[in-house]
Amino acid sequence: MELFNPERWAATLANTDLLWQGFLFTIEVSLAGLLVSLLVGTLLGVFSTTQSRVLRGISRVYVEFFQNTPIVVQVFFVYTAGPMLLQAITGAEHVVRIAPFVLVVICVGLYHGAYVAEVIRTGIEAIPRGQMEGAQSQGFTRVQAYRYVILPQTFRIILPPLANQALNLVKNTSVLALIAGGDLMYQADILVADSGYLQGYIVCCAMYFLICFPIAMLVTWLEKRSRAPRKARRTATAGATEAEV
Amino acid sequence: MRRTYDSWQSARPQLTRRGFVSLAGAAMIGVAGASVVGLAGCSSSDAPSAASVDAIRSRGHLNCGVKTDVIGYGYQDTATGKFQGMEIDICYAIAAKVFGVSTSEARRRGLASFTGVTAKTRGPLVDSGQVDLVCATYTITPERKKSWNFSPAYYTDSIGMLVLRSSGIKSVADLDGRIVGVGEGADTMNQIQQMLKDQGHGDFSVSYPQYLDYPTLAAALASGNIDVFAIDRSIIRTYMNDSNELLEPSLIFGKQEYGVCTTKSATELTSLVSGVVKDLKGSGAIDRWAKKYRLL
Repeated sequence: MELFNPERWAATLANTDLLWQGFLFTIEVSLAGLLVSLLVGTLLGVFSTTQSRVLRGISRVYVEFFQNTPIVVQVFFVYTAGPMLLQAITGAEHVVRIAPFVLVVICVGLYHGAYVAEVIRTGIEAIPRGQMEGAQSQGFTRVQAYRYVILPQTFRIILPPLANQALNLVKNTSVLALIAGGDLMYQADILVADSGYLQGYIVCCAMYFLICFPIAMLVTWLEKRSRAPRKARRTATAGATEAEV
Repeated sequence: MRRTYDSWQSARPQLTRRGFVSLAGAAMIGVAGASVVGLAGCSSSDAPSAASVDAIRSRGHLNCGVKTDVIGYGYQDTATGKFQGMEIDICYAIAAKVFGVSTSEARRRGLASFTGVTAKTRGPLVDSGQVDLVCATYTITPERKKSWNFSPAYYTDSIGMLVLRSSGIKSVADLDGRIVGVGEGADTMNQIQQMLKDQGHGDFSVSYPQYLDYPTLAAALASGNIDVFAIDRSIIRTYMNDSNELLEPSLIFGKQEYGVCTTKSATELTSLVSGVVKDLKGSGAIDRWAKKYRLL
């Protein structure tokens, strides 16, 4: 059982510098990707609840495309076709390379943006129609009604599923390893390939766990909070103001 | 929305997060305990029982581990299923010696049967006795010699650098600031750095991203994500096409010697194989095959 071989464990644990480097890289990519996915998702989620047929159509097509194709294919396509497409668009002399960091932030952001859009859509739809009508009857414009009445209430409902998306997003950044991106999985794979010791993968898993488990706990906590009856929410109004800030 | 959560809650198995954490803790203690037990149990490593030459004779054929995708060395024609290449010829020569027949008769009677191996599987396959020997672009290293027996080298390979014809890279002097893609777990990076130093370009800044497999590397080169695709010349043939070319083909560096690998316990087979390899080199057969298969 080489998996329990203490010498191999010692050799692996002595070589974790690059793994920690990848760990930080994965966190950076995840945060940037999360930001992109929230921006894209909020925009498209709101699109799909408007009365405009065109906006609803755009949102639908986008969501269906990204939800029904694997992210690995998307990343590979952008990686191999991207430089040449950019060359054609910009008219540059040579192919225009995309840094792995940027590439994965965009790919992961767009991919999870589709899921975030669905979360936002269901969140908005959970708010009774009367709220919008009431707001508009009080002189709010549509945009103002979204901004001050609908979205703050939506926020609380959608937080648990959003945190879930963040969790999946962190794990999906591991596609970086395929394009030599420098993330945690990439560094672990190199460590294992160089030494031949599978221990590197276990350490890698533990590091992903280190990032993901707190998020998973956050999901549980948010779910508990979101389930609590309205009157028991001590900070219901505070939560709404928080969302507005 | 809320109702969904409630129904999910009721259907949820009764393992809370806190429960999970304590369970994980218990599991880790268990693993630690098992490793101690495992160590004690594994200390008496049982040597794999390699087939003796007599056993191979009574079996009727020699089991050889070869590459299936390296043109010129070990390549399986996907249409006919037939193997061809210099390493296939070497295997038939060894089989002929084992059975005391001529090489052409060994080939005719199929006395060598082939199993495809990869860099990751060739060690385990010969260890477990599923193949009697491995002849698959296997570089002889001091490290590997500790685990296996190797014949004298039958061929010396070196590193090749593939560049796009359109890249404008014409010599090693053009490599400053470039991206050189290499395979994971390969020694290529160190070899190139040494070569650059030897050529007086030790000050070049070159990055070396490592890719999981060769097809991805080839795609990275074709799409312009890397400037150079550097691997063993034996493998490079497979990825050459009209749009790329070998950079400075006459510059030989990163030499590595390929040998036929057998298990430590197969002493009789090892000396037989070594004899065959010496004969093939002495008679010039290896050189003829290298020309015939146009090895780089």
